[in-house]
Amino acid sequence: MQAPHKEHLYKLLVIGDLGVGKTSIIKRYVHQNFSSHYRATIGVDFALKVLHWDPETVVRLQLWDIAGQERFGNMTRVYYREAMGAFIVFDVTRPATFEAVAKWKNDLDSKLTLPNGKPVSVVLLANKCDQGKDVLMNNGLKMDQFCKEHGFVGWFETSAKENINIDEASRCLVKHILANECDLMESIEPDVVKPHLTSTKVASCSGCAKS
Amino acid sequence: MKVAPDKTCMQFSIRRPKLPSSETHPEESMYKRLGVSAWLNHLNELGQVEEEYKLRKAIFFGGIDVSIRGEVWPFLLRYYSHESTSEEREALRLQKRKEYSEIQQKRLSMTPEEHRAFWRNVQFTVDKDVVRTDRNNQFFRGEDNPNVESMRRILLNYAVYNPAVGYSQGMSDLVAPILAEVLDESDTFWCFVGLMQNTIFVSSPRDEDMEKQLLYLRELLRLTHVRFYQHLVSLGEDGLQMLFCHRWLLLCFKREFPEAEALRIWEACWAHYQTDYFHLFICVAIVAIYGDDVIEQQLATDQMLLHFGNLAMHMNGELVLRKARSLLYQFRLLPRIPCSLHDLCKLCGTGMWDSGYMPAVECTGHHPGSESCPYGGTVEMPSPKPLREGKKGPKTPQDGFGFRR
Repeated sequence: MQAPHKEHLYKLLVIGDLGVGKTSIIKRYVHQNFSSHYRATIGVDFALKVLHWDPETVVRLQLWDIAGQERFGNMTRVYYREAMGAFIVFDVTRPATFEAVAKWKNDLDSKLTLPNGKPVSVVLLANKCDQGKDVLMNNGLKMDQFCKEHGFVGWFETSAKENINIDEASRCLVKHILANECDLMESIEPDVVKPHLTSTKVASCSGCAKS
Repeated sequence: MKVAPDKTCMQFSIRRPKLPSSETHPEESMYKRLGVSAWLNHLNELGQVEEEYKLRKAIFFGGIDVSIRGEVWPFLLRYYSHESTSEEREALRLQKRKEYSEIQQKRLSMTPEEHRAFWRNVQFTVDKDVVRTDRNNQFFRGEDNPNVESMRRILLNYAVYNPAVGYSQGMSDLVAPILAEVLDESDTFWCFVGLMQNTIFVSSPRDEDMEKQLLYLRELLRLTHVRFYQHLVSLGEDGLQMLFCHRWLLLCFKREFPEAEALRIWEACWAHYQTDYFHLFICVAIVAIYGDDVIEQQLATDQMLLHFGNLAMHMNGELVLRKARSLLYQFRLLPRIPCSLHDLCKLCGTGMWDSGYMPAVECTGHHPGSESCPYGGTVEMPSPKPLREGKKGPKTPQDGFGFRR
């Protein structure tokens, strides 16, 4: 028998306009590969990623890949349900996809909150940074400001193609989720909190200490 | 922090059970694939299809040989009528080609303002999608493939032709195989028009059609696979949304089966034999064959999505088709159907219930805004909602409707 592990299972959403690279990011992160010809996501797909966060903690991530073209107004509500965090992705080569970021964030916040009523942690991904057209990215301070204003816990320039910053972005998101979970544990009775989609063990508070 | 990709997968056993003979349609083995000579036998000397019903039935059971798909699909997709003569079809093609080029002309002569809106609402997405649709298919392979450009024009022109539908993601997946078989751009366009009239494909964001399909499917599952239905009910509203089958319906199983099998399923659906809703019987068949683990392991909504997602491209399409045909056969034998499924058999006239047999329609209740059942269903059941209460009275609907298992 192994030493007792703390196991967390988190549902994470990956949302953003179509063609920004949501599927590519997930495939890179989970399967370590890349293709420029991933088919358009229809409906929803998801993939699993296991992180050995520290010697005692295993984090299982369920990455929900949600179609960029909004088809079902009501359905996204179902897709979002019980998610603990999200990545909102835009394409640095297409300013319009950045303009849509706030729309996605608002939509998410209006449909999904943590059990304590707070919004879930969201990390902003500026994808395709390998393309050398990162007009938006020249001003990091502006991005920091944008994230602050819109309630993102952080932002990363990423490239699914070149495998840049995806692990880092995920670690950032998980760190905030673990910390959030600590808050939840403190504010609500433990048996009321259901942070896991399928509960393995009730997690004890560790995220804060780690972050 | 270490990553262990090996452990990211849950384990699934993909079973490939055989169907017992009691679960196959009695006419199952009577039809071979429709080949050239059989096809020509369906045509008279003028090139008219002699007996449309027989043709559709043959296709429903046997499918169409690859070599003549391009010729037969336009009939199934209602571009050609079955009564048309060869001569009339040639005339139609010419006329439709002219019409097609007029549609294209309309698109190309938009004002700059119109064009901006069109680009934003349609063209941008089409451009994104066509280059990532069926690129493994020989027909669309390679850089600067002119067929990709054809597909792109068809979709753009369709959005001009039918602005209310415009373009929704997934349409490229539907048009690509048609273009690869029919080849001619104008003909493909008109086949696609026919396909879109008969698909459940819906434009965003409202989607009453999808809701209707899901409602029928739930009812059909309740009738034919009570255990699975009850599992969905036990998961609450999220379970009943059946996320796992949305893509099945939207793309007509295209991404669930290898192309050869998926196209066989398309043909069986397009045959409109006895029902317009054969795709729902396919859904039930998949659940019946591959859904036992879901019930045994009491999989939650997300796990169900993963379960069926992992099965994509690993299911046996022929087996699913056979099971679906058998389900349709059994559905026909039911002495009573609930009024909620009345519309499932709109084709009763010729075929669904030939020889004048009509099952009784029982009202399952819930007709907002109407006092009586609009389908003339009679109420014989003790309560319209016995399932939800979970009490098994002697006359619950599942006893009345249930299939012999």
